Amino acid sequence: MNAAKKPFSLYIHIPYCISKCPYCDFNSHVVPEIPEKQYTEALLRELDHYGSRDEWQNRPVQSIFFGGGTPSTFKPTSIGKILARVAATFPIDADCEITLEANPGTVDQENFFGYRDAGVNRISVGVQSFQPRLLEFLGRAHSAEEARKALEIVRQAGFDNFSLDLMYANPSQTFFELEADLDEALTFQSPHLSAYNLTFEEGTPFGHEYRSGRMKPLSEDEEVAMAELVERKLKEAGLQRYEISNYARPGFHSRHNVNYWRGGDYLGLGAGAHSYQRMKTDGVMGQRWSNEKNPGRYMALSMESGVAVVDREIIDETKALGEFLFLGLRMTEGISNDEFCARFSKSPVDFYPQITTWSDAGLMEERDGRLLFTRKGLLLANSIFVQFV
Amino acid sequence: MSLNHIRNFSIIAHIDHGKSTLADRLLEFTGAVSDREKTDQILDSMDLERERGITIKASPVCLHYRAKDGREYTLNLIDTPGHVDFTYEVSRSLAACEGALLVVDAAQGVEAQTVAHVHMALDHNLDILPIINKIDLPSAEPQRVKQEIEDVIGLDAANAILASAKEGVGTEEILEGIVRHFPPPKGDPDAPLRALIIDSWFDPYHGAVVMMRVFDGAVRKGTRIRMMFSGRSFEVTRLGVNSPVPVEVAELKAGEVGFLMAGIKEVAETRIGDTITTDERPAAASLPGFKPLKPMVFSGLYPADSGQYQALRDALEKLRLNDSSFTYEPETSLALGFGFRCGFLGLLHLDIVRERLEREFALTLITTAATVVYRITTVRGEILMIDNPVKFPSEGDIEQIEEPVIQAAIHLPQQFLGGIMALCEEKRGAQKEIRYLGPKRVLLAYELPLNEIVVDFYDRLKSVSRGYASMDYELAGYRPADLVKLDVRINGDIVDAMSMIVHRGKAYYRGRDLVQKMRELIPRQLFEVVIQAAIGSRVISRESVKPLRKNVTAKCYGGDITRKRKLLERQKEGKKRMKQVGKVEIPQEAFLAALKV
Repeated sequence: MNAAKKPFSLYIHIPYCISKCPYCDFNSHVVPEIPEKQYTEALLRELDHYGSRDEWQNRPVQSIFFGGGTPSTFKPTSIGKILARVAATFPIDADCEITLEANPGTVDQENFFGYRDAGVNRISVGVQSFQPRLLEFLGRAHSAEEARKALEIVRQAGFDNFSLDLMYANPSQTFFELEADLDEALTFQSPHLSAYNLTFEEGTPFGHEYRSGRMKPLSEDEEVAMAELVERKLKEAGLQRYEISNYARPGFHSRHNVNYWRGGDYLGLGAGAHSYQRMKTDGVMGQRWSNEKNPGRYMALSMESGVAVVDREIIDETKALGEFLFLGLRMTEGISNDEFCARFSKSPVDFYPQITTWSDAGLMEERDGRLLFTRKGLLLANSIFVQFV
Repeated sequence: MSLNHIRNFSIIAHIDHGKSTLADRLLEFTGAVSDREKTDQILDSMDLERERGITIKASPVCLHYRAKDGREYTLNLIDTPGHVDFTYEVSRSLAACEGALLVVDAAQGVEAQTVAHVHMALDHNLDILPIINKIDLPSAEPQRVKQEIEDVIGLDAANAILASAKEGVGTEEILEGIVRHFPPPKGDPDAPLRALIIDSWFDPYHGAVVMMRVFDGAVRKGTRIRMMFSGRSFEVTRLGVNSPVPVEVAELKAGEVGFLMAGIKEVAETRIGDTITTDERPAAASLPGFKPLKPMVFSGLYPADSGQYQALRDALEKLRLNDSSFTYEPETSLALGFGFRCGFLGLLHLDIVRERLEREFALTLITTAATVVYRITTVRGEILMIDNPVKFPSEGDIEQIEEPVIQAAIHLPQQFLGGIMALCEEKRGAQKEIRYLGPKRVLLAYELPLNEIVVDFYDRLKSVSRGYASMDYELAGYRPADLVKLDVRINGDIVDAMSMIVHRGKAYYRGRDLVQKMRELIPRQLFEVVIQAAIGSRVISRESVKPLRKNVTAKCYGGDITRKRKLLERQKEGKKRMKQVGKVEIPQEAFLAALKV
């Protein structure tokens, strides 16, 4: 039963926010009163269910991630209760990475010490920008001053592993503003930083403004220049790019997220959470499933049976192949040819002879038995990914 | 037996002047259609016809009308198509009539398209009854339009009937007008059978269905008929009339219009304009005016997805059952793979066939530049008929190139004379005649190269004359011409499907326009795309599509992997309409641009 002992990652979704940002397409909900107690109960019920299932029982947890929504809307006691139940259900790796996403609001900051005591060992702070003008544009509920304060407290609370989120290429952002954001972010010496190019997602107010033509994105040249600035500045500060939008000092990459890109198993709990489990039977390479998105309905389902799954998808070889490539190649280390061959019995070039053309054009390269994007290629990832689906 | 109770007529009208609505009113008034069955524009049966506002297939309808004189009349309404590509079909439909209603919009007045058809109707000695339609419009000016009919067409408009087909005004007057104004058909019911094929189409149960006008004699179930052009014989299994639903009859005789079925396997056996007679007592001479239809414009049709090749073949086969005027044969292209070289009557016909293939058979097609058939004499003295630029010999092998020319008759109001003559000159026309038909009406005769006509001549003519000029043409043989093969190269490789034959003097402009258009239509890709127009090894125009620099999703975490994959799949779906040539993806529209430039 070696296979059953494979480690996995645990994702816990906290779907509540104090306000909804106009660019966000995650499963988040603004409610008059957050039903923290009931929602926590529902999570525990779901946890109990999976803990008793053969596929998950006794498998070590390598990372835990509280994502949202805004997990820092929950009190440290609730987070502690959940983590305690996880520890009672699964063996937890000694070096398990336990991340919580936090808003830099004043209320949230007060909880940072408590989260640390509850067992959280990594905090990801959604700063986005230090420019009041841009924070307002992004509809963020916090101020630049609060963000600075929050980052101080993270350190005081004893988190030596933390991350800072920045967003760039806002339609009205100047090159100078981005430079200022990067400079200020670096003063906090976070060992990890995520820098996201703003995208106009369908179903969001920004997406709507964009499609109607009222919101004009920056030009491609400007976006490319900003992306290059981000990479250069962070590199100078010792933060290596290890994924399209993620940078870290050696050893501080997000283990939880790397697991997604490497195609590892993960169990998602909470409203709208997604799970993935690899398999190897009759051409079925894995399965994905997801929970009911609406928090109220999620809680009802979970309390009834511990199961809130509303969607399941079988991953056949074609899908698995596409995912392996379009996830793995997001990372600067790329994919291992040997691992690919072991999974799909042929090399990537056998499936996609175009790889040679892309390499010739300086978009990809093969190095030390790995296939990876060049810097130029990373910017064009989607144009190549479409060939893989 | 007297034929006094029969009237055969058609309706001549510009698009949107209300022909179909008027036809509907006539059908309703005579009780041929109950309100329940009423759908708008009954005569146009194909979707495509409805959308384009033209009628491709004539579909005669038989109406029964008790006139004010107390007598019962049979009125056969024979519909006509309305585009220059289908001039011949129009002429055959008109040949089956004794009269025509000329419908003119009371606000817009006489439009060009109608003029050509009126002249054609007059050539066939038809009586013409003007109808001024849409008098309910606030902008209606019936008096001005009457005057226009007299000035522009040279027709007496004193008896013109004022009508509003939409409101049902004037319908009875029109029916009375048809009875009183148009002569009954002439013809000898006892003479050997002579029936004119107006239209034919394929029915999967009965084979070819032939719509015809009987001129002499009679045809019955069981009669052995003979097609006078092809010489083939068939036994009639069914006869009928559309009123407007098909009703079987025992016999169709001189003066009558109806359909027959005779187990004919292919529509190609039933050529429009051919004369039907009997095996037993064949007529001495066929009816005049028959011309076997020959495709004049050729183009390659390729499936965008090469997996659809067999489906395209099946679709062409099915379509050909119904439309014998287009031809196809397999060909291969370096750029596009396996496809078919197809022949059409003209560009509109090409468009219609392409759209039907895409719509009715769910195919995605790439069309190559349209071409005419060139006659080339090689230095070795061989004569080649070239219907595909790819087969064009290299310049050193050519002794002489000849191109097909047409004799065009253009009717136009005098004020557009300058513009139209300039257009004809630009299109390498040679003026043959200029004649004033009235104080404001001119007839221009030009000899023009057919390859200039197939590009955009007709559209340009319409725009120069604000729609008032009309044109009719026929092939007038081959003339020597200084032509070259213009190639399009993408990243250095010739895209054979885009090669075209053009006049040397115009090659530069055509090349430049085409390359510019392609630059707009080819989306940016991972690599720079260089588009060139070249004659032989000489590049005459160059543009480039700069490579894409950024296309990447910023966030991709566990939650949305399925969604991200679906987004990628959707993007990929969009690429299906693109054809991969070398490493460049060329959208279908870029191939179409080569047709239109």
